[in-house]
Amino acid sequence: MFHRKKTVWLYLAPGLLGLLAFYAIPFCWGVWFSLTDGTIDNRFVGFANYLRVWQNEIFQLGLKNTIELSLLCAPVIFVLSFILASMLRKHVQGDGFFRNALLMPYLMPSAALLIIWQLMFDYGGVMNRVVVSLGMERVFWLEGAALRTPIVLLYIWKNLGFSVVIFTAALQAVPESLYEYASLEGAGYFKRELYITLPQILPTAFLVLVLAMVNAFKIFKEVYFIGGAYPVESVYTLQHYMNNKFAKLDYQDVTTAAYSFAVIVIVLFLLLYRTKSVRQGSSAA
Amino acid sequence: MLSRKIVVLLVALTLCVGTYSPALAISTFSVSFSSTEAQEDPPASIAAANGALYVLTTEGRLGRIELSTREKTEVGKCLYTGYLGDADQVAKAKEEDPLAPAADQLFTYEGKLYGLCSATGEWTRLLDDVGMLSPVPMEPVLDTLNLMQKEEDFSYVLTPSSFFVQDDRLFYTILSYSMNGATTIAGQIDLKTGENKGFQTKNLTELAAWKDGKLLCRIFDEANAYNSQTGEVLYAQYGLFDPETDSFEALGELGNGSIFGGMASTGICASPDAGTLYYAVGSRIMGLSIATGESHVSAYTGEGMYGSLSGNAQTLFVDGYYVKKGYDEIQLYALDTDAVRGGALRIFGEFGSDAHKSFSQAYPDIPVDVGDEYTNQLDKLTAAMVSESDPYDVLLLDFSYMPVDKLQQKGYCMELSQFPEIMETLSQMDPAFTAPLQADGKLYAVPVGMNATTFSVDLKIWTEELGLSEDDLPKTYAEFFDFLGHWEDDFADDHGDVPLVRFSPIGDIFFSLMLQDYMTYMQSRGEPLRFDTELMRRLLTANEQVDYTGLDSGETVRDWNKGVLFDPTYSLSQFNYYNYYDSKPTPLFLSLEEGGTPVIGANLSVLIINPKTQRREQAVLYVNHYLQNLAKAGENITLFPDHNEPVENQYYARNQRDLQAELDKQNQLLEAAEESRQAEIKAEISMLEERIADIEKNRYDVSPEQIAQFREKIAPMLFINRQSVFLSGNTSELAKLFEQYMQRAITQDQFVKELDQRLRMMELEEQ
Repeated sequence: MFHRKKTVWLYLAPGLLGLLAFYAIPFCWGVWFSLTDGTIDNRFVGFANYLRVWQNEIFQLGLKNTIELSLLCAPVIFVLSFILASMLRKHVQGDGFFRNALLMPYLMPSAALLIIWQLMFDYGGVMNRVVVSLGMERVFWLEGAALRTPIVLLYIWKNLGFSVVIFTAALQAVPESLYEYASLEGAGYFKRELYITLPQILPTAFLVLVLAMVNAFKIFKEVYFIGGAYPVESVYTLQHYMNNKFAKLDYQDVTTAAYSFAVIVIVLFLLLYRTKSVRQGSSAA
Repeated sequence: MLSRKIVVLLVALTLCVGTYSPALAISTFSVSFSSTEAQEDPPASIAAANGALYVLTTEGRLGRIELSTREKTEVGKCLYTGYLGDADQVAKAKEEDPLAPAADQLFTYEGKLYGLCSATGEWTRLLDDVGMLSPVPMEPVLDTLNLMQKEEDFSYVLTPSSFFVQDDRLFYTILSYSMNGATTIAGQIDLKTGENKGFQTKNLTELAAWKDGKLLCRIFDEANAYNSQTGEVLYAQYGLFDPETDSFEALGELGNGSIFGGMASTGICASPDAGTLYYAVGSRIMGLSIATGESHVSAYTGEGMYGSLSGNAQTLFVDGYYVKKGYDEIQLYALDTDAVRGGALRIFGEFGSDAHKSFSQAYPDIPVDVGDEYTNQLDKLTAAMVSESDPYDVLLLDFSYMPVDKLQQKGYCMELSQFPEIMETLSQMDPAFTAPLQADGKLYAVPVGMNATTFSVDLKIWTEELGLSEDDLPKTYAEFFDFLGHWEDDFADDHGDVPLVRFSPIGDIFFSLMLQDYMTYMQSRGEPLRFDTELMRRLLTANEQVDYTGLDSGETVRDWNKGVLFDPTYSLSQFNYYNYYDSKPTPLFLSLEEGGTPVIGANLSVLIINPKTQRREQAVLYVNHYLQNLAKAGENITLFPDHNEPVENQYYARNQRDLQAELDKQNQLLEAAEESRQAEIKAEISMLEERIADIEKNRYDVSPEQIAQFREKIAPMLFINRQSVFLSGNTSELAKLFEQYMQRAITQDQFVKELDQRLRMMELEEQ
C-alpha cells in the first residue's frame, strides 16, 4: 500500500510541481506583495494598501461597473444560450451551420469584432440608420453613457456561442425516451423542460452559469478596444484600474485590487455552489 | 586654375572643420596620456609595426607610440595628401617640400611601415632599420582608383575603414556616404603587380586580417538597418571572407542589445593567435571567440550609446590593445584587463555627451559602461535598477517625460544632499532648476540638461517680403491665430510661395504647441490641470477661426535654403542653434492671455543615483564630474547664472590665422605680380577678405549679447515642466481625443469635458 502511494505521488509530482511553481507560490507571493509598500526596500505595511484601495473612488467605480456588467451579461447569456440550445437540440437539417455560426464570434479575435462593431454603432452606422428609420434621433453609441449598450451586446454576441455548444451537448445527452414517456403522460413543452430537461442538465447549467459569470467579471478587452485605458465612467472596470496601475508601477495596488476582487468572486461562487447543493438536495429528496 | 585652388581650399577647410580638435591626444582606458601637441592635428591613418603604433596626422606628422612604455615621439614629417585630389595637386605640393614622403594612408608590410598616396598610387617605405624616417619609393605604382571619389570637376580621397596587408595584398573597405545613402567599396591591391581588384560581395563593410588566406569580415546593409515589415533592428553578420573567390562564409551575428542594431556593431579587428574577433558596441569592446561563437566584454570605452556608430573608424589589434582612429584622437583600449573583469560603473540613458565622455578621460581607472537599451517605462527602469546582474548605478532621465517623481516616491533615487561635493557645485546653479527635484528639503536628482523651445519668426520674410513691421508681430495666441485666419485674404495672393512652417500638418503643430504652453502655464500657476476653463475655451475658439486646409500644402519644405515664416522648434537653450538657411529667426514669445507674461516650458535632463548601487563613491564622482563639465555652449551657461563667459568658436582662431596668412601672402604676391595676373589675385584677396569678415561675424558660439539676452529676457520666462498626470497616463487616449477634435468629429464642449474626465480618472488613480 505504502509502495503504491509513493508511485502515485511520483506520477503526480510533475503536475504538482507546476501547480506549485506557477500558481501556489505566485499566489502567496502576491499576497505578501499586497502587504508591502512597493518602495525599493519593500517594507511591510499590513493592510494599509487594502484600506487605501478600498477607499479609492475610482476603484469603487471600477468594482461597481464590473459587478453591474457581470450581472447584466451573465444571466442574459445563460437564458439565451439555453433557449438557442433547446432549438438546436434536435438534429434537423442545417443545425451544424447554425451552431458554427453562433460559435464563430467566439473564435474571432476581439480586435476584428471591434471593427464590425464600430461599423455597426458608429454615428453614421447601421444601428443609427435603424434608429432614424424608426423616427428617433441618432445616438452617439460609442461615446458617453450609451457606450455600455454596444459593449454589453458585443460581449453577449461574442460569448453566446460557447455556452450554446455546452448546453447543446448536455441537452443531446438527455435520453429521448424520457420525453416520449412524459408526452404519453400528457406533459406539455414547459412541463417537459422544467421537470425533465432542467434536472437532467443541472450540473451543466451550473457550469454554464459559472463560466458566464467568470467571463463577465473579466470583461475588459471589449471595453478597452472601444474606450481605451480611460473610457467614460459608465464602462470603467476594475480591469482598467489594475491595468493602468500596472503601467504606473503601482504593483501593490494591482495585487491589492486583484486579491480584493478575488475574495468577492470566491464568496459569490461559494454562494452559488451552496444554492446548487441545496437545490440538488431538494431534488434528490 | 584659381577656381581649382579655391575648391581644394574649400574641401580642405571643410574636412578640417569636420574633423578638427585635439590631435595626437592619446586616450587609453587603462593608462592616462596627456596631449603634448597643438590641438589642431587630427589623425589620418594608423598602422602597427614592431610593437609600436604609428600615426599619420592631417598635417603630415608621423608619430610613434611605444605600447610597452606608452611613450609618444614624432618620427618626422610627411606630405599629407589626403586633401589633394589628383596627381597635379600632389606634384605642386611636392614642389614646396620635395623631400617629404607623400602619404595619406599608412600600412605595414613584412614588418615595415609604408605610406600610400591615394591620388598618385605611389607608395613609400618610410622608416629605416633603426626606425628613423628614411623614405624609399617603391615599385610598382598601385592602382588606387577605388580609393578616390571622382566628381565632375574634382576628386577627393576617401577614408577607409579597413586598410591592411595580408599575403602581399593591400585590403581596403570604404563606407562612402552621399545624398543617395551609404555605399560600400571593398577590394584588394596586389603589391607585386599594383593591380586593383574590387570585391563584388555585397555590403562588405569591414575586413580584418586573419589566417590561412582568409579574412574576417563584417557584412551589413547600412541602408536597411531595420526590418521594414516588423520594425525590428537587424544585426551585422561576421564571417570568413575568401579574397580568392570573393565569397564569404557567415559565422554568426555581431550580437548586441543596442537599439541601433547592426549599426552599433562596428570596428572589427582580430587577433589570429588568440582566435578572437574584437568589435565595438556602444561603450564596449566585445571579444568574440571564432571557435565557439561566444563573446564577452573585453574593454569599456567610456563612450555613450552612439559610441560605436561611426562607420569609418579604422581599428587595429596591437599587442593586447584595441586601437581606434577616432575623428580627433587615437584611442587605445587595453583588452581583458583585471579592471574590466571587475565590472563597470553602469550608466543608463547616456548617448555620448562630452560631459560623459570626459569622465573616462579624467578617471581612466574607472571602467564605465552605458546600457544598450533605452526606455521611459517605469517598470523596466526599476527592474533594471534592482537587477542582480549589472544594475544601473547612475541614470540620466528626462524629468519632463520620464517618471522621476514616481521613482523618487518609490525610493529609487538616492538622496544627494548628503554629498557636499555635489551640493557645492549645485550651490552655483540657478535654484529654479533644482527646486523641482527636491522632496522634504532633500535633493534626489541633479539637473544636467535643459531644453526649451519656442516659436520663431523669420524677420526677413516678415518685414521684407510681407511688408510688416516688428510692432505687427503677434503677442498672444489670439493674435497669432487671428493672423493665420487672415492669411488667405491678406497675403496668399501676393505671397502664396511663402511657406508658413517647414513641416506638415500645420494645424496640428500650432495646436499642440498651444496645448503644451497651456499646460506649462497651468503648472506655473500651481493650478490643477483642467481644460474646461474660460481661458482654454477662448484659445480653442481662436484656433477654430483658422481654416488650416487652405494654409497647409501638406508637404515638407525640404529645401533648407528656403526660409519659412514660423519655426516652432527654435531653441532657447542651445546658443549655437544652427539655422540652415540665410534667415533672421527671432523668438516669438506668445502669451496665452491679453497682457499676460509668456511662460516657456523647459525640459530638464537629470541624473539620479541608484540607492542600491555597489559603486557609490564612483557614482558620486561621476555625477559631480558631469556637473562640472556640462556643455560650454549650453547648460554651463543656462543652468549657472554666474557663468557669463562668452564661448568662442573652436575653429575661429585657426581659421582666422590661416586666412590672414593667406591674405598676407596674396598681398605680397600682388605687389610683385605682373599686371596680367593682378585681377586674378585681387579677386582672391577679395574672397579672402569676405571670408575673414564672415569668420569674424561667427566668432562666438555664445556671444556676450546672447548671454545677456538669455539672462534678462528668456530666463525669467522659463518654467520647468514636470511629468504631469497628463503625460504619465496613456497618452494615446488623449491623442485620440485631439484627433477627433481636430477633425471636428467632436465639439469643443465635448473635447474639453472628455479631456477633464480622463484627467480626473488619472488623478483619482494616483490617490
